[in-house]
Amino acid sequence: MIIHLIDDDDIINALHEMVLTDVNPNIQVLCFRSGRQYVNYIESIHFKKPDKVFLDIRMPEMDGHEVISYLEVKEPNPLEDVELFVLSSTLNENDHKKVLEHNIVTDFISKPLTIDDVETIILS
Amino acid sequence: MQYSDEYNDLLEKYRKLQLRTTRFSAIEQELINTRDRLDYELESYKRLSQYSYFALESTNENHFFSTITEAIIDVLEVEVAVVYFNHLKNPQKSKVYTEGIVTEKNQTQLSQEIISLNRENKLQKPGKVLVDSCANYSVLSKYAHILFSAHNENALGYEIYFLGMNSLENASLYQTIEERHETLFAVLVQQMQSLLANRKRREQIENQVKLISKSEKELKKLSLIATKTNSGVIITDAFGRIEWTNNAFTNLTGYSLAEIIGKKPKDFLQGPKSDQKSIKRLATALKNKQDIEISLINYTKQGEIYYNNLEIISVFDDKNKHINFIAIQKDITEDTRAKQEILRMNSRFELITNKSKIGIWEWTPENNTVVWNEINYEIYGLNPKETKIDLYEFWKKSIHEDFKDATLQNIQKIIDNHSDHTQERIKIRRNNDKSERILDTVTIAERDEHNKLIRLLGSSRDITAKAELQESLQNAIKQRDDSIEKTEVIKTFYERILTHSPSQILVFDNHLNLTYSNISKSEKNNNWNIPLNTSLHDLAKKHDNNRLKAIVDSISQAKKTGQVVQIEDSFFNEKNEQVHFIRSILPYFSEKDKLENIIIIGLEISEVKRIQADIILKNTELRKINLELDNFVYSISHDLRSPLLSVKGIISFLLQKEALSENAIKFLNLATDSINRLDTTIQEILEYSRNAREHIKYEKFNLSELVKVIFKDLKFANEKNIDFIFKNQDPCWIETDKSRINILLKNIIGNSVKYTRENVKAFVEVNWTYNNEQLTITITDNGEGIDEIYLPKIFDMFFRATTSSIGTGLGLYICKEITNKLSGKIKVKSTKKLGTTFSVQLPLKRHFL
Repeated sequence: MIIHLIDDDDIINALHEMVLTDVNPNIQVLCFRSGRQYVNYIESIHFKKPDKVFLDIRMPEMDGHEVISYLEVKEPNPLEDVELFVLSSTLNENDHKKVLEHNIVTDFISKPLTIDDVETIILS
Repeated sequence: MQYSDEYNDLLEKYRKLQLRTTRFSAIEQELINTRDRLDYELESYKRLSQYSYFALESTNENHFFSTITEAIIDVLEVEVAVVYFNHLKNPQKSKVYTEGIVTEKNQTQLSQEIISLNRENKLQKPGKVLVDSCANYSVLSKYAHILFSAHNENALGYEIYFLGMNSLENASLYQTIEERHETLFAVLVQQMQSLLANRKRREQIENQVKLISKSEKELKKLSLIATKTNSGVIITDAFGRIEWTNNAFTNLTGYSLAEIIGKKPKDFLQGPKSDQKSIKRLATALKNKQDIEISLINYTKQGEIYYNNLEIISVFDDKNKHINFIAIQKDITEDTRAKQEILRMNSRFELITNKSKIGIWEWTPENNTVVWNEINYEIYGLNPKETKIDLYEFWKKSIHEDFKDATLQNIQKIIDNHSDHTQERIKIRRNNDKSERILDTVTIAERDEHNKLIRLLGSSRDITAKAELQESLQNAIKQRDDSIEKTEVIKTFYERILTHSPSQILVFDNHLNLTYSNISKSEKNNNWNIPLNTSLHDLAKKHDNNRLKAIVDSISQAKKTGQVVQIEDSFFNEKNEQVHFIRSILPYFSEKDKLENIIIIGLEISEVKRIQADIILKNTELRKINLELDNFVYSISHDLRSPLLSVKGIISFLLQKEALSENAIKFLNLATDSINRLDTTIQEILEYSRNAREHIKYEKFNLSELVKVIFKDLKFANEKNIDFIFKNQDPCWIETDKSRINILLKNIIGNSVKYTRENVKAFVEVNWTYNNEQLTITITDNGEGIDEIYLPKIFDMFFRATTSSIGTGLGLYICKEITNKLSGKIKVKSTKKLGTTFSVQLPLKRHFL
């Protein structure tokens, strides 16, 4: 199973990787430090479609909203049938609502990702 | 450390923003103050006009003056008012009127000081007196502020002084005297003084009218003399030289008329025993042409002493020139010769009475005969040749019904010896033309020594024409005075208002010639140097002036539409500052829809414009800052939380997955608690700033559901064993701001959960009730309770009652802010070691059940 983590916080990425591999050691985790990096990756020849994506909202260079907008207009959709979770520590309800308006977003999860969260997501 | 720096930075920026907001509201306040001040001044002028009206209406002089003092106190808002009326000819009539507490009871001293203050100060116009110049005055030096005005009315014989003062000890309680007060004072004094002058002029006229009626009385006396023939009578000329005496006088003194004509009575009647004091009194009265009644010892021709009761009457002609003295010597022993005398006298007095149009009648009870003179026939409209008529019956019939009973009663009184004469004004119906006439009548009884009635003598004078004339004259004078007074007062009043109006007012006739302008030449922003009676058309043509042209165009528009047209007029003044005016052009039509005037009212709005532009600019700035702050707060909170949450995640992972020593677990749990606390703080700051800035979002929701969710969350997040009691679980549909109510209840219930007492089974109970207007939610617990001394402070920002408190001190402050925002109230009752009850009252926009 391939999972993409897009977050500018290395510690969070490390933590989330630990949590994910703890639930399932076979999970292959790829981390990206900004939306720009991730989009570059999608555009590159190395891109390999993941099973699930965890996307942070507030990031430098290119934030989560911009990544979502990019994905929505991109033809064909590089993340067809992929579950896209938005992870954020924002307290701004508007961020919350805005994200869920997009069809390609599966759900919104508050940081940090816990073992319980991961179990629910992966086992479902 | 880094977080706390950022946190401090956030607070710092927030403080700066609050400072700015305060500054903008100060500017707004200044605008409001200016408007209030103008309103206030207008109010003062209105009050002044009210007092002028009272003064105009007052009939009593004391009342008139006390109205003035009241006006000074009330309109100028000073502590003490003094009006000193100085009567120049008769100092006894001078009077000091005061209102308020005058420190000096000695009003003589006060009035002397006022007079010398006037002499020394030489104020050209009413105004403020420099207190230094009063240092030598014992009364006035006790005052800190003095407004003073003096008027001299030599022609009317008085001086009037007006003062408005604040005492030294109370000066701080009153406003300092400013130019505004002086202006107001000048208007007040001018109005009151003109009212007073009018009043005095009217009094003069009234006095003249009184004088006229006085000389009439003397005429009456003259007609009386004709009947008082049992006394000795002397008529002298204006210098006291005898012109005529009656027989009674000759009989009494032994002097015949021929012997004494041209002499003065004192030259031959007085002797050594005559009382010198009385003589002196008599001489003074004669010199002053006053009437006098005096008892004197006189001598007859034979040198015999006789006691003379002398009455002297001065006679004036209609031009008030003194023409005669008439002296009557009362003699009660000489009435036996009365009848003879009267016949002799009649022929002479017939002449006088004919001249003075006095009707005379006589009734003798002995043979019941009535005799009238010709004038009396004339007065009653009866032909003198009509002899068959019963004159008494005829007379009775002639009297007007309204006067008949009283007149007959009075005559009966004389007959019955209850009085010896009556004087009446009666109304009769004249026989020949049936017109109503007004008569002045005198009736006198003549009695013998046994007091038996010999005859009744009467005089009557037709004063109808005179009375009517007098009445209509008085009415006319009064009406004229009233209307002059009123129009003048109103005119002055409005002129004053116009002169002191902050607006520039120009009045043009329908050919656009300037007929009135209240712009003084010294005015700073005088950009209207239009001489009176100059046409605006010509000016606009002569000087190629766009501003003038714009105004002429607007005037045409106003003329056409008949409506007020407003234009903005901007120019640079002498100091090269841009000045803005708004000019309202008002076409004024007469009743017949004919254009009479064009009135242009210019109001300077430079300041308003400047402030307006300033406010718009600052508002935009403020809005921008607000938006920036919004983003800033979210970014900061996000950036603060992100690392916090990753630490939290790591710890939770460690606790769950690693085999740790007991101590490690304990410390990690403590770390988690600290992280949670910091997180709560960040959330609360965010909640606070959101509540302060965001508008209320109304939505419909079920309060009961919300309470249940809060209970569930708190139960889940807490390990304490607490009873959550929700009394009224009925659905409660309300429409208000859900997220704010959520924060509010979470905070209060959260506190109950946080501060429980040990060894007591804790509970928190929520209940709600409502009526038509408001919803009341109560949250009761049996927790620690709050110390009574802290109760008033618990809603303060950053207040924490105990060191055991683990909050930020923001929670209840936010609750208070939220209820304020929702126009509600929050109250608390608490007893230490017993528990606390919060009640939240919310007005509901709508509610559903």
